[in-house]
Amino acid sequence: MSTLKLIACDVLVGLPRKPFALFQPDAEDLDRELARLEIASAVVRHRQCIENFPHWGNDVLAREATGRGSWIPAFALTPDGAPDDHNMETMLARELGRDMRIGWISPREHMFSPRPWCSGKLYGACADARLPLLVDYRGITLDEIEEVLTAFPKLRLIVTQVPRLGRHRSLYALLERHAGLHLCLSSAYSVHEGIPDLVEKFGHARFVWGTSYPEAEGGASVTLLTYAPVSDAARAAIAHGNIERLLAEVKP
Amino acid sequence: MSAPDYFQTAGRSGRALEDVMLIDAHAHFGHGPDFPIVRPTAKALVASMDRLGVLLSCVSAIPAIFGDAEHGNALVADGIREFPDRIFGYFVVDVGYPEKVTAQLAGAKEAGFKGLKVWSYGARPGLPYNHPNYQAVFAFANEHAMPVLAHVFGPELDELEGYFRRFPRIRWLLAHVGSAELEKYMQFARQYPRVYVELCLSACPRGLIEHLVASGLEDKVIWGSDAVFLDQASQLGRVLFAQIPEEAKRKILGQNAARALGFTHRAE
Repeated sequence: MSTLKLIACDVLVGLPRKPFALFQPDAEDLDRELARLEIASAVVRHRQCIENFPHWGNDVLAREATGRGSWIPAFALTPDGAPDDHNMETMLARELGRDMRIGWISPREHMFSPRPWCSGKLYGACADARLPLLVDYRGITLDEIEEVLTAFPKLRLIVTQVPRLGRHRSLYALLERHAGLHLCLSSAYSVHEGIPDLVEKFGHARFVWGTSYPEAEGGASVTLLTYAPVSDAARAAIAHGNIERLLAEVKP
Repeated sequence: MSAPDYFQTAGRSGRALEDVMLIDAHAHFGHGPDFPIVRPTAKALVASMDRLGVLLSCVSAIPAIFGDAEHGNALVADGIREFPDRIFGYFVVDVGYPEKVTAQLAGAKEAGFKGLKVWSYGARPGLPYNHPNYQAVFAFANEHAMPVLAHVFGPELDELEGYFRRFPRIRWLLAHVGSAELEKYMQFARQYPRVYVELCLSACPRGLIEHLVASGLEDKVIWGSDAVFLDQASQLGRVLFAQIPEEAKRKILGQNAARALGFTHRAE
C-alpha cells in the first residue's frame, strides 16, 4: 500500500508571547513535524496575525514561507483592507499577487463582525476569486455561518477546529443547506464513526484534513483518517484531493 | 530524527496492530444527553477494535452515568454477553440514591462486570467524590478488589485522595490526565502504588505522553479512548506517534492496563 498523501489545512505557526510548556512551534518545529508525520504540505497561518497586527503577521508569514516548498501560505483578511489605503480590493489583489491561494478570517480576535453587513464585500470578493476562506469554529457562530452562506452561496468557507460533538445537529443542518460549507477534520473532531457518517450523508467532496498544529499531537489526526472506515477514494479526497482542487480553482 | 517505529508505521498506513496487547481502558456504549453519537453500539465498537487491533475494551454505559444505572448497565451486560472476550464491563450505580446502591451492586458481578466507573462534575453536576454516598460504593470495590475508573478533570483529585489509603485493594484509574492539575495527577501516580493515570482527552495535547514518560511514569500511564464518545483511532494515534521508546508504548497500550485491571489476556 502506498503512503497516503496528506495536506494539513489548519496549521498555525509562530511563537506565542507566553511560551507553551512542552514545545516551541516556530518554522523549524513545523518543518520537523511535517517530516515526522510524513505530511506533504500544509496550509499555514501565522500566529503573529493574532498576537500582533494581522497584516504585520502576513508579512512575517511571507518571509518565513519563502523557500519552503511544503508551505501553502494563508493570509489573514480583514474587511477594512490593510494599511495604508484601507481598501479591501487592494488588499486582496496584493495577497493574490503574493501567490495567496487561501485566506482566513478571525473575527473575534480582529474585532469585526463576520456578518454580511460588515464583511459582505470581503465574502463577495473571495467568492468571485473562488478563494477558499478558513474560519475557526470557535470564532464564528453557526447562526453567523448560516447568514454568510445564505448571502454568499458561492463562497468556499472552510471551518476548522470542528468539535467532537457526535452527529452535530446544527452542523449537519448547515451542510444540508449550503454547498459552500466545507469542514476541516482534525483530532479536534474525534468522533466515533464520524467521518464515515459525514461521507455517507454528504459525499466526500467538502471535507479536508488538518492536524490542529501546534497544540495537538498530530499523530492523532493522522490515525483519525488512516483508520476511518471509508473508501480509498474518499480517504484520498479528504487527505489531499479536495484542498488541491480548491486551490487549483482560485482565479488570481 | 529517528526512523518511524512499528507503531508509527502501522498508524500511518492504517494497519491493525498485531502481536501487541492492546487494551482500551476507557470506553462507552450508548448516547449522551448533549448530542447524538454515531452508532454507539457494541457491534460498532468491536468493528473499530478490529480495525485497530484492540483486543479488549473496558466499557461503561453513558446512560448509566447520566442517571439511569439500571437500564444503562444492561447495555453493557448485553455487550459482555455478545462479545465476552472483547468487552470488560465497568458497573455504574445511581450514587445519588443510596437506597438503590446496595441492590444494584449486588447484581454487578453476576452480570459479568469486573470494575466500577464513577463520574461526577462535568457539565451536569453529580455528587462530589467525598460525599458519604460513595463509601458503600468504594467499600464494595475494595471488598472485591475491583478497579475503579474515576472521571477526573482536575478538582476531583483532592476528593479522591483519602480513599487511596482507606481502600487499599482498589486499583484506581484517574481518567483524562492532562485535562488540568497535571502535576497532581503525576504526584498521585508516583505516591500511590495502585493509582494509574488514563489518557483519553479530546484535545490530544502535544508533548503530554512524552512528558509523562520522561518523568518516570511509563509504568503508570494507561491508554483509553473514551469511545464511543470519542474516536478510538485518533486517541490511539496519540500513543502510536508519541516520541517515546517502543517498550514504553507497549506498556501504555496494554501491559499497564492488564496489571491495573487485574486480569490476564492473550500474551504478547
